[in-house]
Amino acid sequence: MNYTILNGIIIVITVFLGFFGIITQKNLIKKLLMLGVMNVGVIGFFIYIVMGDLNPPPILFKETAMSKIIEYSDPLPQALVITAVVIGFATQSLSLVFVMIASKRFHSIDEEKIEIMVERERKNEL
Amino acid sequence: MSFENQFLQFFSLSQFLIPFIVLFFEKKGKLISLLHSLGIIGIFLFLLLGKPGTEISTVFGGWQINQGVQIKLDTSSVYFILSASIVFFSTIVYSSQKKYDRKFFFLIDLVYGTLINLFLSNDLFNMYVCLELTSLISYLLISSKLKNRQVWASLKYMILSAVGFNFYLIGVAMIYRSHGTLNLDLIAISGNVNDMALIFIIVALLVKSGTFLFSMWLPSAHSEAEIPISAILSAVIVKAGIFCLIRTIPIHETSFMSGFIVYIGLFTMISGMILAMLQKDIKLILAFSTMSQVGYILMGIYSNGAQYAFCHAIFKSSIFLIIGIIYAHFGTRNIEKIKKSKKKISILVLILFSVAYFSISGMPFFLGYSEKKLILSELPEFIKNMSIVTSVGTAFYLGRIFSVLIRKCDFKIISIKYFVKNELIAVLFLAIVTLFFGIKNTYGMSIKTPDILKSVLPVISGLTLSFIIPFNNSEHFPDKLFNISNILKIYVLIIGFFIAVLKFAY
Repeated sequence: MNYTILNGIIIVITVFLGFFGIITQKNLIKKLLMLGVMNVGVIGFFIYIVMGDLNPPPILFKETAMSKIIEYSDPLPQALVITAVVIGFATQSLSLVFVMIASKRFHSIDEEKIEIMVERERKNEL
Repeated sequence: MSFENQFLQFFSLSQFLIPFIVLFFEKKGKLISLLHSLGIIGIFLFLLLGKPGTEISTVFGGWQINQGVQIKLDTSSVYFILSASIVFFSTIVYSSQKKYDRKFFFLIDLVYGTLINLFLSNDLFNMYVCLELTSLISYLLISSKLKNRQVWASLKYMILSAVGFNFYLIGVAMIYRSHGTLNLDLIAISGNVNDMALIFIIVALLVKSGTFLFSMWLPSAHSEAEIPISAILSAVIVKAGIFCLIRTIPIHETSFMSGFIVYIGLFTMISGMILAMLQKDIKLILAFSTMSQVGYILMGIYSNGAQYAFCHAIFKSSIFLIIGIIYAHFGTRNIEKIKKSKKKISILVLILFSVAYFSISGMPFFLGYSEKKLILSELPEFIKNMSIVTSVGTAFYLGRIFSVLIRKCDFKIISIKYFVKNELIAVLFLAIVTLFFGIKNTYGMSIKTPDILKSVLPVISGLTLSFIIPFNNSEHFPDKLFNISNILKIYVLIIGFFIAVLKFAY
């Protein structure tokens, strides 16, 4: 089987698995883990769009057989992906901090229980 | 490279330097951030009034357009940057006497700088980076006092917008695969943008921009944050998503999504109005009112949404800051409790509130009247009728606050000593800006008596209704719609619907 098609299928499955996980999991930690899975899938998609032609990586070698190769894969998406990885990391670590605070305050990391508690608190204060 | 281009590059990069100066100087930090926003107000007021239609674009490092990062200043970015500067200036003035530490002013200045860079950016990935940085800082700002509900609101916002941005990246990757560039001008020249990519990008931007069903994080985040931060969120940060929609107009104007954006705007306008009518928490009323006004901006996105976004930023921040004064005075956010309390409030608050109230409901000679008319003039007839209904509704739900204020106002208390001075100066500044632009824009267009009657009558009828109809005791807040999992299911349904339309109807 062609490797590119296989890679594409794996990446699409990863994105959908992550998204499905975010919807179904009630536990906030699990939700954030699945968000990470979805993020990995999206980053994989960026790499997939340049490796589609299976060109060699954009690295210049001195005076070898490799230096004669004119066609390289596009280096730009990898540079973009580094930014996306950093931003995803920042978002995820910040949200884990907030989950930590929420678990201390509400003694629960279940999404629905926290939602009910928050709503009750709001109505009491009004 | 000409002077203008070099100045624009310097301007863009210096926005990230100034916040760190604010952090470094402990006591003069506030002053530096004030001067920062005041200087930018000066530059852009000159550009708007003195040189309308300026367009400068430049690439960092002197590269070709397809090799480097391009920034672009056009009319819509002038409007957005000017509104952001006015709002930030008045919120910094408003919060300067309260006990906020320098980290607060650092974050506010950093989000301001990032927003200015967003309003200058002209490629899809630069937009992504600036939007994500804006959101990261706004999560911190929403939960700045670390109250229970603030933490939860910001966590909810975080998860939803993270999912939205993963969609955005998928769309960007698709466009890069087909066009080999991310610069919006180059994509627009070559045309033929993949429709699937557009679905992902537009859904992600609608998640950020405060539309009904897409961004249900908005009510809790905007009502739970501290007052100055609520003003910034409602006035500027919501506009970040809308600005990206306006910048990407060349690539989605002729696609099948363009009709959907206008109807999503109509739907948002009406549902935001209905939800705002059912609340008794003042800040929640304002949060839903923001949603309803975003609907207006989206309907006018292909004509002059940018101008209306400018108007909305100014009067919405003004209303939020006045509500802050009222909240501090009465000590409650419940509108019925304010009505029952024995305290009196000065007539100055009523006058300032009425300026903002008449501009949000679209009275002539106030800000927002001529822009609303221009938006509606290019839309079909039934949308015009719906907008008349909406302006009655808007006048009604904000008129409730107005009627309570009239009952509570004491005509003898006029002196300024009665207030915290800074808060009053901030709101007064916004009111002057409202009146200046309102009178200037209304005189700029030719007005006839029936036109004026058409826009005055709904406001007056809404206002009288708000005096007649009593408050309902129960509050209607659709909890099920605001659950994270349910909102994500709605995203699946909406994206599925768009893909189905793309496959079967086109």
